[in-house]
Amino acid sequence: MLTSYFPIALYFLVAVVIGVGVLGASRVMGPRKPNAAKLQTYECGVTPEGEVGPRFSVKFYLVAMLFMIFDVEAVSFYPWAVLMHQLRLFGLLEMALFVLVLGIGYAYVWKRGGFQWQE
Amino acid sequence: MNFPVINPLSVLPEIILLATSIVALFIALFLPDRRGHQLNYLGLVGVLAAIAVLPMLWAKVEVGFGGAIVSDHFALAMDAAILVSALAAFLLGLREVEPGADYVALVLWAALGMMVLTSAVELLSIFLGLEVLSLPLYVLAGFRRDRTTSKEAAMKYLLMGAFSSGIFLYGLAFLYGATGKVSLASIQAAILQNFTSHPLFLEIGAGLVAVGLAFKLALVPFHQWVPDVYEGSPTPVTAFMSVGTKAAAFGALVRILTVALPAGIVHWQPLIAFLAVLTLLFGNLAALRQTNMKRMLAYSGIAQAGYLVVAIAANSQMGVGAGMFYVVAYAFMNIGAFAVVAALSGQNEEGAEIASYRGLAYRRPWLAVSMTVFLLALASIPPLVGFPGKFYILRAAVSSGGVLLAIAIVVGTMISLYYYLRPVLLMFTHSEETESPFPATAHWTAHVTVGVMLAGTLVLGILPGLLTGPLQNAVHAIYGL
Repeated sequence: MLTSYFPIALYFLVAVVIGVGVLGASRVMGPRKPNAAKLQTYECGVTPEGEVGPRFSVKFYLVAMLFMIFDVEAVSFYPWAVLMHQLRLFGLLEMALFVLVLGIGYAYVWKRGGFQWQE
Repeated sequence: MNFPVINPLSVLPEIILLATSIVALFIALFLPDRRGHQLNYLGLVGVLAAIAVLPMLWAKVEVGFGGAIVSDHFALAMDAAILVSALAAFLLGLREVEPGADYVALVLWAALGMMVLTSAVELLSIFLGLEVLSLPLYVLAGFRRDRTTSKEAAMKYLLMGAFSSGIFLYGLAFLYGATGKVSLASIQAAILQNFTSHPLFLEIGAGLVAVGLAFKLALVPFHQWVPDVYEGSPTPVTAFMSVGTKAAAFGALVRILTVALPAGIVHWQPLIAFLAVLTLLFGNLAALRQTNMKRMLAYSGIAQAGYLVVAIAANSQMGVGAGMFYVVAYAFMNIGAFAVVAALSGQNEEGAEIASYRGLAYRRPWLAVSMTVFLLALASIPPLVGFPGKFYILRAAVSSGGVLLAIAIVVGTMISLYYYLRPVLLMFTHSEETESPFPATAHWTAHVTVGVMLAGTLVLGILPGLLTGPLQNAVHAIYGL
């Protein structure tokens, strides 16, 4: 049973060899002339400002969490959409129920001020 | 194309809980905040409706979700214990926490997860149940956001719980890796027919699964989170999770270990026996030193989990039956004890110190006598429900050759007498203080909870036969007889 995983192990090995090889080769052979501009954090060409690890509001976590919920919900639409015709009315009702439950959750989060940025 | 048969009947109580939680959230949209606590009554109705359908479902075994969920007698019996603890969470929650739709929905979801865990017979559904159980409890532990201890409890519970979920899932992966099956019945068949890739995978899988659930059951040495979480969480939540989680984790442990992984081939028995002895000795010794009632009950809960796991270590039908009886017994006596603590504490949970129980029998005789009964039951004094509970476990341990386990139980019980009887002694000691540290009145629902648990403790203690008959069916159900 384990032998069937051999190609995956091989794949891992090749991936590691290529990764280490390319980075290692450039490190060994490449010329290094560092200066202040080169060592700066690359920020899409804009001059970076402030510290590297600043504190940021815990509210971002809430936004990320709510985003995750709706994101995962969207993902579960795809398999349903593909099978919609085979699932017929049952599938449609099932999905309607799913959206209803989610909708109530959405309304609840809204009412509790989950989308409010200012207190 | 074939779709798996869903069969809503197999999850009818779960559907009722889910529907109630959604209705609660919906009503909360239109309810002013100050009336939010009234949603607790809705939660109560939902749980009572779920309890009401249990006898209807008892007649027939329902299989759902393509064989992933089985609503057999074992699942239904465990569901009953879980629903009773959810009932207590709502009855006690009316006053304790600032309840609202969040509280109601979270308790219902946690109970739902527990019930899925006891009826799941497929690895992924089992894990799903465990997660649905855990996530709401993390939030509930930190429900009193204004109190540091509550926040600390939530943080500790979340970190330990996340680790244990990971360990549990890793164990499930090993079981799948060893057999290539996800359904417990196929795993058992593969093991019995020797169709496994590597025997070591099974051993590792069984060990990791046991450790993952040991966190939830609060077995030593995976118990460190328990005292802080039980003390910091709101009392109704503590009552709910101390019983509900144990019932659910016990159910999963029985289904996975004793049924799917035959002990003759996969050697999980010594590990479980070792954990049991360690737990019931350490839990009882640590409880001796506690000065806070909730902390004392937390350590007593650890010790009680040790007794419960002895029933699994016995690895027999008798053991499983004894364990189920003990879960029900524990539900009555432990929730009862927490209900008294809740009835005696105000919004800020003052007065949870054992010392403040001094002279209680002269000020609040009803609560003091009830507390005495619950503590004596926990110490397994006849004719209370703890006595037949422990007797059945002892019998199961001895009849499967676990004499050392039986001795450990007896030693543990003797130690436990000290800390169970000390508050009783204090309650009946006259105190010079005229001022009571407790609020003058408790919400009527707290008294109802105490009354119901008292009735259960007494009736099942005197007539344990009421329960042993149905539980025998449940044991047959799980062993597929």
